[in-house]
This record gives sequence, C-alpha cells and structure tokens, in this order.
Amino acid sequence: MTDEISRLVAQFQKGDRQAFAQLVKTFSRRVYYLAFKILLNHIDADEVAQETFVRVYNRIGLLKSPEHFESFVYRIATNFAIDLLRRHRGRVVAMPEETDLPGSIQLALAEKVSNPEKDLENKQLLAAIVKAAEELPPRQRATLILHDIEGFSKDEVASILECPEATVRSNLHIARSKLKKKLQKLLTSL
Amino acid sequence: MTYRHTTHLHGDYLDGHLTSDQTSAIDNHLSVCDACRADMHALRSLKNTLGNIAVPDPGDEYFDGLAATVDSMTQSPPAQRVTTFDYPGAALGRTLKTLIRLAAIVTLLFTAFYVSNIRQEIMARQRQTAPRVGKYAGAAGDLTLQPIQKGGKIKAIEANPVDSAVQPSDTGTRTIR
Repeated sequence: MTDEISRLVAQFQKGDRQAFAQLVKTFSRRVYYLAFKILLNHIDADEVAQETFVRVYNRIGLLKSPEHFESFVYRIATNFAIDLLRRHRGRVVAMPEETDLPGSIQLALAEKVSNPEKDLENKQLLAAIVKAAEELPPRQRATLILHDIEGFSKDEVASILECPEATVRSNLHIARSKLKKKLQKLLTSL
Repeated sequence: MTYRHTTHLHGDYLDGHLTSDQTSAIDNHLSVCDACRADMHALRSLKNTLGNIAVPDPGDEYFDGLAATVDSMTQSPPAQRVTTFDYPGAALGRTLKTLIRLAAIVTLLFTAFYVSNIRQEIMARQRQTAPRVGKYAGAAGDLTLQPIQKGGKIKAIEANPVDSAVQPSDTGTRTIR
C-alpha cells in the first residue's frame, strides 16, 4: 500500500493528473472523517476535504519524500481544520435536522449493541463527549482526535501537528483530564 | 504512592508507554487505592468510547462529487516552488550580488595587506632613524653598557674615544620602551 502510494506520488510530482485523482480517491474518506471528528459538522468537514486536496495539489513540490505523503496530507487537513475552528470560535453551527441529508450525518459509535438501554446510554455518552470536546482548545482537540480516535502514535501526531512529542503528551493529558472531569458521572457508570 | 502520584501516569499506563517497573508500581497502587482505581476506570471508558467513535459514511456519491470538485479546482498545473528571487532579471541580480561580495572580500584582503606593509615600513624607518648605541664608538670592543631597564635609559659610555673631536659628554642615550 505504502509503495503504491509512493509510486503514485512520484508520478503526480512528474505531472500525472491520473495519479493525483487516484490519490484523492484513496485519501478522501480518511481526510473527510478526520475533519468531521475535529469540526463535528458536515459542512466544515466538506470544506476541509476540498481545500486539503487543492493545497496538496499546489504544494506537492514542497514534499521531498513521497513516503511522507500521508503525514503531509493529514498535516494540511488538520491545520486547516484548526484554522476553521479558530475562525468559527463562538459561532453556533446550525445543525440540520436528521432528515436533511447530508447535514444530518452525525457521529456514532461503531460498536452496535442490541440492548436498547445500552444503546441509549452510548448515545448520551457520545452526545456528552461531543459537547465536552467542543469546549477544548483547537490543538488539544486535534491531538485527542488524532491519537485516541484516529489511532496515530504520539510521534506521528507530533509530525502532523509539527510540534514536539512532549507537547503532544501534555496536550493529550490535559484534554483527557478535561473530558474525564466533565464526563465523570457518565464514565463511572459504564 | 499517593493518589497524586499515579493519576498523571494513568494515560501513559493505558497507552502502554510505561516501563515494567512503573506498570507494576501502578498495579500495586491500584489494588489499594479506590480513588485511583475509579480514575483509571473513567479514563479507560473514555479511551474506549473515543476509539469506538465512527463517522457514518456519507456515501460514494458524495466522494465522487468531492473528487470532481477537486478536479475542477485544480485544472492549472501545480504551482512551482516560488522563491523570493523569482522575478525577471533575478539571475542577473544574483550574479551582481555575488560579484559585489567577491569585490568586498578582495578589497578587505588588499587593505589588510597594505596596512600591514605600511606598518612594517614605518617600523623599519623608526629603527633607522633612532640613535644607535655606540654611534660614536670606533669599535664594538670599546663600549661598556649599563644594565638595561624597561622605561629607563641606556647610555653608551666610551671608554676610549678614538675621534678626538668627540667628547665623552656626547655619548648617545636611548629610551627603552
């Protein structure tokens, strides 16, 4: 997979538009999901996904090693999402009703439970997490999402956010502590 | 270990970033501390829930549309890396700058060499014009010298003046610096 991506990146750097289209197809879902988890709404996530690939296209000359393409894409996406968060700070995003696609796309828990009570509990917990995450500063939120939700290692997060690993550890610790404090009751009942 | 001592390590404990000694120390502490156990449980639940969060797929149609939009927004060739020198005549500007730098270095070296030469010349002249010890002596063997001291004066005393026109009082003196 990585070799295939490196090959596509090398072709794209030589001007092959088909290779770029293939890269967009490969990364569009992951970029969109990441943006959605940071921004918590479809409209902004869509903007991030579009802008990320336009920036990738324009800045591909800056990428020296094709094997670092993945980090390069996530760095652009995360930085743009953080910028949007800062710009929209304090703005209330009008979330469309559940029937209005595609704005109705909501976060969910991947693990489905058959027990309706447990399902309701999970939904409540998810809503509380989303609400608590919205109050986190942009970089803490991005660190938490990249590490705990997307599953990147600390050094990968440091590379994406262009900061020292110690900063990632510190931001992660603070973000988790804040969420834990806000969700204490819900979490202890699990 | 106190409650304060372990809570800041719970995140690293769950991420598996602690040494085996630290891990076993926390395990021991958790077995006796209810507060830390509750904290660890809450953090584990949070981490599991976060890891379980998923964004429902907006569908292939959406991603096809996204690819088409990106394609239409990137019709021009990728921008080349732009440097601050990339303006018309940039090459000439760079050459001129290099030449000016070289000229400055050569001038500096030449000035240093010239100043050094002048200094040497001045010193040589000073040596030539300074009164010589034993100027009036007929032979080196005729001189007796006083001990030389810094800041003092040396005096050549003629023991046996050869030239009758020169009196003993005309002996040369020179300040030692």
